[in-house]
Amino acid sequence: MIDWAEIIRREGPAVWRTAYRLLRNRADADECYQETFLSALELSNRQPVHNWPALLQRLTTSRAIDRLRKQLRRRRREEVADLALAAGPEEDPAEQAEARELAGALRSALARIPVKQAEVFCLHELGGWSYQQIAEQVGMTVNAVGVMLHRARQKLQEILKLQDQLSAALNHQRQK
Amino acid sequence: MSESRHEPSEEILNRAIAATRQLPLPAGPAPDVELRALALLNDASRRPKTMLLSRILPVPWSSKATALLAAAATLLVMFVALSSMTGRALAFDEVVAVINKVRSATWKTTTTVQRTPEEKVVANGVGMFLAPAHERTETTTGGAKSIVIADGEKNRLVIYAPSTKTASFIDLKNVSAEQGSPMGKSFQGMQELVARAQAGKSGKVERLGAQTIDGRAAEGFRIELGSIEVKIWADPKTSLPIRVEHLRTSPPEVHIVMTDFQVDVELDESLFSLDVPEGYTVQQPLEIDLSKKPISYLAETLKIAAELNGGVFPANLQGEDGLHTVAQSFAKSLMEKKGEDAAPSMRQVQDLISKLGGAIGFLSALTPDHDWHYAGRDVKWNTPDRPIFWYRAHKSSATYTVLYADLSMKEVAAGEVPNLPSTEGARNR
Repeated sequence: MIDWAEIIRREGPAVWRTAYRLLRNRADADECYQETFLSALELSNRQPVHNWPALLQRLTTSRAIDRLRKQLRRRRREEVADLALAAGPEEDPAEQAEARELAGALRSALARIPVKQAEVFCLHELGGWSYQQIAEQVGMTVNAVGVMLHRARQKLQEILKLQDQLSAALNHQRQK
Repeated sequence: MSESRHEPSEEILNRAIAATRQLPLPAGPAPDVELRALALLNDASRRPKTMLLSRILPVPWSSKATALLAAAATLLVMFVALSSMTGRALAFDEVVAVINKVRSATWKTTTTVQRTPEEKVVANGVGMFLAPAHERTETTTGGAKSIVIADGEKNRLVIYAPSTKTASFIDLKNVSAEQGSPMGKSFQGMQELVARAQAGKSGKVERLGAQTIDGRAAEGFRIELGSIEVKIWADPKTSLPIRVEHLRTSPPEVHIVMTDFQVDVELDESLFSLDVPEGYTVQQPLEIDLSKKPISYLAETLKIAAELNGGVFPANLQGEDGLHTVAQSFAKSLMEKKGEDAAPSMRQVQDLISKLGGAIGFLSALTPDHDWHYAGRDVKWNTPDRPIFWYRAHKSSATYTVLYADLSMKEVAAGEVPNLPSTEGARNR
């Protein structure tokens, strides 16, 4: 019998913070947190889990990216101008505007690249995982992880640059 | 970011990564979020593993849905409490007579639940009313849609989550004919509120005068009922509402705005059916027993609060450290336990929400006219003959209901109310 209370006590805060870092919204982070543990339960029914922290971090990242993509699709449907995913209403007002804007732009860009690439990118760049750790958790070779990360960075750079140029053009137009 | 348009792409990405890493993060989820997750896991763990979990997991008990459901339970009990505490049946004036002729109506609604100072849940939607007491509300929060159908004749309410194909019911038990069902009364309940206020039966009424609301000439009323404030803007010619704002100021703060009313519109009866569509999974129903006095919810919640607080009643009922913190304390206590003791089921969570929602609803309905007092601070549960709370049903009531530390209740004559210092209430003494 898995001691879920102990797992939630030990790993829950890190899981939630990982979700919040990507979603910047408490309500979304709460749901992502819940989905992560339910996915972990489902997975643990099929196979033994040897590394709970790694599994939960990977599942959280994957669920959060999935939510970012859904948000993006919804915004497109609603035809809302979307240079960056809007920040949640309850964000800390003390956050610096520029950092918030940059982080929002990255979240928006992450929703636009392939899921696997986004996942590998987040685990490495935001989670601090090594290529080896990612390879073990995602079931890829270390080389494949490197290639995927390289592609993710290239695509993100392109999107961020484009967003930057669009944003600059809009600002320029407003100033006229 | 716009200032860096000549910056190399890689530099922008690196700065975005650094910004994402450096933005401050809260310490973790709220304890009640942990509790819900734990309850879900324990419930799901007990089910046969061959079943497809994604089909059976009660996802509606997510934080957003729980907040809204708790708000619904709170408002339901508040309505019941108001009905039971304002005395006799009300004489409806001309305005209400006009509105009562409405056979169907639609409106837009926005509900905001401020769960914590930094966290709120917003739901936008449309409401529909079909006489005599059917109501349907379709809301969207965080991109997830939910549909609530209330049937005041069957005393049943169902919440559908189309994204997860789940249905959660709230059943009202022991509804008296005299009292009537509070379900399906977002529209009519408002009319009753106006009628009460206009007839001077409950709450303070302030005329807000004439204003242009949503582009139309309107006359407004502000009604204060304890921690509830209702602003109603009505068309002076038709007496029909234009905009209604409902604000509960004590935590968790709930703000409901209803606008764009259309009356006597064609609505298909099937929109109000309680038959669960094929493919939906029905969750454990939440029951609210109306034969219980509203104060019973307070008593039950105080018992839980005392158990979580070393057998001592909480210092306050409302405010920052009020009863709404019971859910968090409950979650914390479970997180500190291990093994079987730490395995709450969804039924326990629902039970807690039901009691807490009822208690908060009861407190929200209290006004200075109820002359209520709380004196439970530092008092141990089960202390004999120790009053911890007392109030009167209405201004002209000859008796007070007294709640004791062993959670027994007694009706006492107005001249025999406890002579104790109270820490909270209409008039501290």
